[in-house]
This record gives sequence, structure tokens and C-alpha cells, in this order.
Amino acid sequence: MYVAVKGGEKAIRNAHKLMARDRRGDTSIPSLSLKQISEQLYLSVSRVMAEGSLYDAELAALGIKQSRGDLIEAAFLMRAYRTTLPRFGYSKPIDTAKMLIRRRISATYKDLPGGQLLGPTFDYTQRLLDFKLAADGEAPAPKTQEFEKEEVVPRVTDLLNDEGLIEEDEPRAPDAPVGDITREPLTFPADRDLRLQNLARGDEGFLLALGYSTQRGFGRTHPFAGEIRLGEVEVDFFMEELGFEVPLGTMTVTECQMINQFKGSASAPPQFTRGYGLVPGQGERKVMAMALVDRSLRAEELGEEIDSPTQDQEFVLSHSDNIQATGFVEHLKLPHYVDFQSELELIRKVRKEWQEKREAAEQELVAEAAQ
Amino acid sequence: MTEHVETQGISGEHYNFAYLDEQTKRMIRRAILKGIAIPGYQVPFAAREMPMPYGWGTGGVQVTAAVIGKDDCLKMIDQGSDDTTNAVALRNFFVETTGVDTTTKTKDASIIQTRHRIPEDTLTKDQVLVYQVPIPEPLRFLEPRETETRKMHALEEYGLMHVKLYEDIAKFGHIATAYAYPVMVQDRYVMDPSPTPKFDNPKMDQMERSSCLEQAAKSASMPSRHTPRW
Repeated sequence: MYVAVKGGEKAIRNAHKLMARDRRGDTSIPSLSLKQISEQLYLSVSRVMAEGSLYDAELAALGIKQSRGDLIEAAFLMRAYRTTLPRFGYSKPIDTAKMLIRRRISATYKDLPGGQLLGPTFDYTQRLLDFKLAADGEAPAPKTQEFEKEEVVPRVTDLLNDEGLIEEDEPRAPDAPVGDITREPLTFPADRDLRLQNLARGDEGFLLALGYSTQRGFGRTHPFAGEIRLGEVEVDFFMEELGFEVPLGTMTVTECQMINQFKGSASAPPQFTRGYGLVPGQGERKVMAMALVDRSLRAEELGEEIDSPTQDQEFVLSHSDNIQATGFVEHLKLPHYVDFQSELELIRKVRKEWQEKREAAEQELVAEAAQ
Repeated sequence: MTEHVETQGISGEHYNFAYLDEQTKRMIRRAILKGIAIPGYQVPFAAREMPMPYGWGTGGVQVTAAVIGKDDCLKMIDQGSDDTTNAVALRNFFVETTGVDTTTKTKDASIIQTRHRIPEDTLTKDQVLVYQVPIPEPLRFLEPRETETRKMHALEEYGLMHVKLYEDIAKFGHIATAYAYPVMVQDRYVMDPSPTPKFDNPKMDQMERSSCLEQAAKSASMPSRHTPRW
């Protein structure tokens, strides 16, 4: 007989104290400040802001500190905080063409208007452990120079499109209602705005694996990285009371436009189609994977055959959220004494019947042999 | 006997009473009312992230948060016990966010949230029973797609379930399901009271009380009061 564990209250309290002690580690070493985390671990902060669906580097840093660097746990802390915040409304769509660009590359056009800007990147570094960094050596400062801010740096997909070779943005009324997966339950089939929202907060690892699977032939989409850009954009909010837009501030975003070959179908001419990725903060791997998955999820709309997991909306969108996934996988740790008890009874009964049948069959064989 | 614990509480300055904002509570109550109106039907609602993991009772917590008031007295059970770790954690959550009285006595409680067991005492019509249900869709293990299962419910197409039960009988001589045992509500919707053990299912029938089964991301579904029969 299995019985429920009693006295959990005290154990829980003590376990949390123990966890707090382990989190702090050796007290002779200074505690991390939130500024240290948000300044020096910005890519972790970015991931937590994206998957936690809340643009606040300081809170993300607190989440990372509180979770001992477990980024999914940190994103979970952000989500549980975010959900309690009052909702004032929706900002105007951000315009990434007006971004103050820190990095912009295209794998499709070498000389594109506005130029390519390599920016801060791990690309082309030698992946050698830097022992100078271990010894706390300061890196030499990068070169700086005066520059004129370009007012508008058009997105690659808006350029060179005289021939209609690249599909246009979906026509959408500027005041069309915005879908919101945090307010309405997700139902299928989901429109692209909802899908993109889901992917933007989806797990980076999950999207990376799905994107990779499309490259290996499971729903192949023939992608080119049309453009990846990183920088700051202004966020505007329309104030009903005032009757005009006010800027709320700037935010860092990373955007990716994939350009995908498309042979055409009954409903669409042969042209390049697009996959789109955008996340708050700096998350290049995430936006690229997101753009691949976004394009794959358009299979139905483009009349492509659906035969791979990444093309399957329900499969992708129902499993992309790592907060849900981790909760449900880890809920297996919870006591299941009652279910297990009823399973035990059932299996004992089924085994007994199996044994009896077998013994009866054996006796029959013996009897037959004796005859 | 009820217990009242004075806490510093996380309510007040930073969080609303019972954590959720009033708009969200209203949205959930609307889903509950719809569930009561269509017994056994799964009413989807947009679950909020809660400060405990999804799959650990967050749906039940949201339902309780949507109906709880200052004068309520809460009982929290997990695995038929008030003292299991998760029951303790969820009860503390409500003590901290609402300051309500709690109890371990069924008859003293106005709201009972449970995972698994249904109390032995007969409840009165003034008591609400909230079930934590990890997977409310009885057809989920037969058909993983929500789009398909919704269609099957709409068309009252429960052949798959009947075949499954029949195969159990053909193979084992009886239905080999010990919990998550499907029930038919008012001859219309098949519902899954998982993970309530099968032997507790009859207690759900013809209840004086209002029962609300939930699952965090998906739905509230209810065998409403005075359900004629399963």
C-alpha cells in the first residue's frame, strides 16, 4: 500500500533554504550584481526576455540570478510576473527600416543600399578558449568614428523587387485587430500573426532543431538569409486621450528575413517566398530558426505538400512553449500515489489472470502428452 | 476547524487579491458559466502563466482564484491528502495572496481544490469542488490532434473510444483503465475526469455541488449539478 507523504510543509521550507544557500555558493566570493548580468551576459538576458515575453533587461537579470542561470526557469519567472501586469493597449507596429543599425548582413546581395555592417558577432572568430579572459584581461576598445545616421535603411525584401520576384507583405489594414495568444486561447488553424507570436516566445532549442530538420530535407524550403539586422527601434503608442502617438522609448530587436525558393502552385506564381523572424534583444540563432519554421508553417497557404513535423501547425505551436513543456514534463515528479495505486491493482489483477491462463494451458499440454 | 494564518503576503502592493487581475478572473468565470450551461463540453480559455509550473495544478489554481472571495474557507487536497508537498505549496499560495481561512475538514470548506480524490463526505450545494485535470481531453491518447478531437466531439463521434474499451475487454476480459476513466455526461459529451481514480467517478454523478474540471491551457468542463445520468 502506498500512502501520501505527510509533513511536506517543513520539508519544503527547508529545501528552499538549502536551495538559497546553494544559489549563493561560496560567500567569500562577491555576489553577482544585476548590472553585471545584464551587461556581461546580455545574450542570456535576451533569451530570457524573448521567451519570458517581457522586454526588461533588469528583471531578466534578476530572473537569471534567482534561477542560478537556468534560463528556462528565468523565463518562467518573467512570464509569471508579466501576466499580472495591467494591459494598457498595443503599441504601433515597430518599423525596422528605421532601425539604428548595429549589425546588418545579407547572404543574397553583396552591395545592398545602406551597406552591410558586420557589427558585434561571434562569426569568423576562432572558437578557442580565451585564457586572457580567464585572467580578467580587458579587451582592446573597438575603433570608433563619426557617422551620419541613415534615416531609413530599407529591408532587403523591399528592395530590388520591381519584377515582383519576391512576394510582398500580406496586405493588412493598418487598424486590423491584432491577434494575442496571451489573451485568447490558440485554436487551429492559426493565422500567421498568431503563429509568429507563438514562435517569438518559443523555445530557441526547439525552433533550432525544427529549422535544422527542414534543412536536412524534412519539409525542405530552400532558404537564403536575405537579411539579418540588429539594432534599436523606437516604440510608439497611440494615446486615445491625447489623440496622437507618443514614443515609449527604444528597444533592441533582431530581425531575420529568409528568402525561399518557390516553384509556384495553382494559387501562387513562381517567386521567392519569405520566412520571418523577430525577437527582442540580440538573438540571431533564434530569429534564423524562427524564419525557417515560419516559412515551413506556410505550407498550407502556399499549397505545398505537408509531410514533415515543421509544416504541421498543431505539432509546432502546441509544443514550442518551454514554460509549458518544462512544467508538464517535470510534473511527473509530483506524487502520483493514487494513480499508481490503481495501476498497481490493475496490473496485479491482469497478471493473476495471465498466470492462471498459462497454468491452465500447461496442464492441458501435460494432459495431452500423458494421453 | 479552520485555520487562519497572518502572513506578510505577496498581495497588496505588487499583486492583486488571488494573484490574477479582475479582468482575467471574469474571463474564467464566463468560461465556467458556459461549461455549466453545456455539461461535459470543454470550454477553452486563455490560461495565464501562474507562479507555479504548468501541469502542477495551474488550471485549478486559476479556477479557484476566479471564484474565491475574502470570506471563503479553502481546502486543498493532493492524492487524497492535505499534507502532500504540492497541496501544501498551493494552499500557501492562496494564504499568501488572499489571506483566506483554510481547513482540512471537508464540511468546513467552501472551496475544495483537488488533484485525484473526491472527498468521501457528501458536499452541499454551497460548496465548490475544483479538480486539477492535466489532460481533460478523453480522446487525446487516441487522437493527439486538437483539431480532430474537437470535430469528434462536435459530431458525437466516439467510435474510437468504444473500440478502445472493447479491445480492452477482448484482451483482458475487462476495461484496463484505472484512472482517467472516461465518462459520458448527459448522453452527449464524453469527458475525462483524469486523474481521478475510477472508483471515485460515481461520486461525481448527481452531485448537489458544482464541480469544475479544468486544465490550464485548454478548458473548463463541468458535469453540472443534478446531471441526470452518466
